[in-house]
Amino acid sequence: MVDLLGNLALGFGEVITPTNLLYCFLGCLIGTLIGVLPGIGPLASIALLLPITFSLEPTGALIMLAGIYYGAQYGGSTTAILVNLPGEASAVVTCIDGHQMALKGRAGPALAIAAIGSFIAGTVVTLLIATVAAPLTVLALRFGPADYASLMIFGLIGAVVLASGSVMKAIAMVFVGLLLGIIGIDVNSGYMRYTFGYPPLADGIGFVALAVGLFGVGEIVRNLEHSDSRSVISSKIGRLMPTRRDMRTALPAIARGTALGSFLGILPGGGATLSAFASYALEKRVARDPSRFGSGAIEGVAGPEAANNAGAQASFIPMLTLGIPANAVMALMIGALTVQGIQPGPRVLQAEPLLVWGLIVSMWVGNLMLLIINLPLIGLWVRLLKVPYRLLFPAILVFCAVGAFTINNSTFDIYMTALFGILGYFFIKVGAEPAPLILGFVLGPLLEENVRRALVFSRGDPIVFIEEPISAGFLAAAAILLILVALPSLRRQRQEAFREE
Amino acid sequence: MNLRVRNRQNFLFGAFLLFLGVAGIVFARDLTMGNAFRMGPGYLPNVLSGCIALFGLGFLASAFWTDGEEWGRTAWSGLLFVVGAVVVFGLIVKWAGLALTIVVSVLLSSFAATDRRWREIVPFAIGLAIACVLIFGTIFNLHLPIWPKW
Repeated sequence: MVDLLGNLALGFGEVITPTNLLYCFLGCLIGTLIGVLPGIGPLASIALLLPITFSLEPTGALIMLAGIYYGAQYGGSTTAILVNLPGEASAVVTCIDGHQMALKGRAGPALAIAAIGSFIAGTVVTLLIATVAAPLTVLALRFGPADYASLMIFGLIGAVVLASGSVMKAIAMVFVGLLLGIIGIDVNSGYMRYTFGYPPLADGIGFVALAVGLFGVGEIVRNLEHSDSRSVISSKIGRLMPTRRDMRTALPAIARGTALGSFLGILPGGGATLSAFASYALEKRVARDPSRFGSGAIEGVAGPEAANNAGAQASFIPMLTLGIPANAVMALMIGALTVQGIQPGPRVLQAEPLLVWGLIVSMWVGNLMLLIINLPLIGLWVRLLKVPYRLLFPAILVFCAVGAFTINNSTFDIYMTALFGILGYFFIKVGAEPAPLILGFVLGPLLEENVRRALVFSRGDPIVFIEEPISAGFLAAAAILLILVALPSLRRQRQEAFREE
Repeated sequence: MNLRVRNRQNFLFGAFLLFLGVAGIVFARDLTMGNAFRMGPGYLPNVLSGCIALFGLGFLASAFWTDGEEWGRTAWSGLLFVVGAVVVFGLIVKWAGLALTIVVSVLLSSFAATDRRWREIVPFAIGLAIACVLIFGTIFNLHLPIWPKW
């Protein structure tokens, strides 16, 4: 307990500096912005901003990138409530009851409860991260290469199981990601693999080009399939503060959403979106009168909004303590750390305590900022929502191109972005989610390295993966996940959870 | 037997995977395989490519006995102009500089929108170029070429 307070104080000291407060505010502001705007998500934006963060010092860079991710969860609800469009994938379920509330003239309370719910969730999860970070790192320091390899396999399978859409397609996408990750020089043998004698490919495919192409450019093309038809609720938003009765119904939902989000966020493949869906389903189940859902039930806004923020922040836990990304956004964070010369893993907490505790405390500070950015300034965001997509997408596209260009000042990355943009649209059209591909791409090289190291230690005997108890545990868990997802009853439930998407 | 593609999504995804897997094996033929105990540089590429090709065959086959969802529109013009704008950006940015390139890319990409209005998009493109030059060139000072090299 004393440790915890000391660590938090350390973090506060790091955050309460003018520059870091500025980065935190910038991250939250950008996060809200992209959250509000449909058609660009946190993944593409974080990828775009990666090159800019290279010139910052690591703590500021990470604080800003984290702010974008949880800030987007706040912003997404605004669009969902006022326009009935999810500004973010994680706000899909907020549309259902939030927009109904807005139609009934209760947009103010809906927006307020979404922000309050997110804030409560953010505060609780910040404390949760601070509490479990140190013990988890101690545990993780005992992991050997075999344990790590098995953990990654477990993570990849978890990501596949929890992804929406077809499990088989998600597995195939992981393999495609693993294959793309191989391109470049093989660190073990020094051989060029799949470089076609082309020097820029020796370092492998650029992470930014891949993410920006798949999630930025591909998404734009998809959005152009339909003409833009947005109608912002133009009537006055009205009183912001929810009534006492609203609070009484919403608070338990917020508590449940926070708990659910914290749990699902830690799981591989979890994060904001899954947490929101699960929370909506839970609220519907525990409600005394489920028929109110779909016509403006405040629990249907409070629960999922708390859950998506909790999920977004909780997914930092495996990244900070184990160096393993729970989802594609965390994979980008790992990329950002690596570029800064910090090897993600359990040693980061000891080697860079200021960075880790600063980041954790910044999440709470950021949540406080977001409350201010989102509620009193709501009018600003509403005006922004009136910017038509025909202007928005060229701007996003230009940012994508500039972002790709700034990585190495090389046009090669721009062409790769274009190529992955085509692929991204293709994947959307054939119903294959690109997120597992990104995870495979990031984890692939780490996985190969750990498998090979484990085999060197065991003199080439693969039994090491089953002999080590921790490794065997992860493999067993992965196998159980695969069996579970194959069971017909569970398969139906899984489809149910993603039905609204 | 009625052989007809009923699931266009699975058919196309399968074809893509099969192509990728076969290409992966072909282009890894010069790398030594090794074995599971002593992996060579070619071991993982070949195993992965093989798996991908098998997945491809599976999806191709399934396209004949499962029903896909409705395909909807394909945004060909969107694909052409959006991706085209990115490629053109790459082609000209080194000598035309950031400012001019942004204007050109914005105008080119806006061909993809059916509801474009030139009176609106031209000033918008110029404004965006100025904003980008300020943000990327001045504030973050990323050492990008900004003005054309004549």
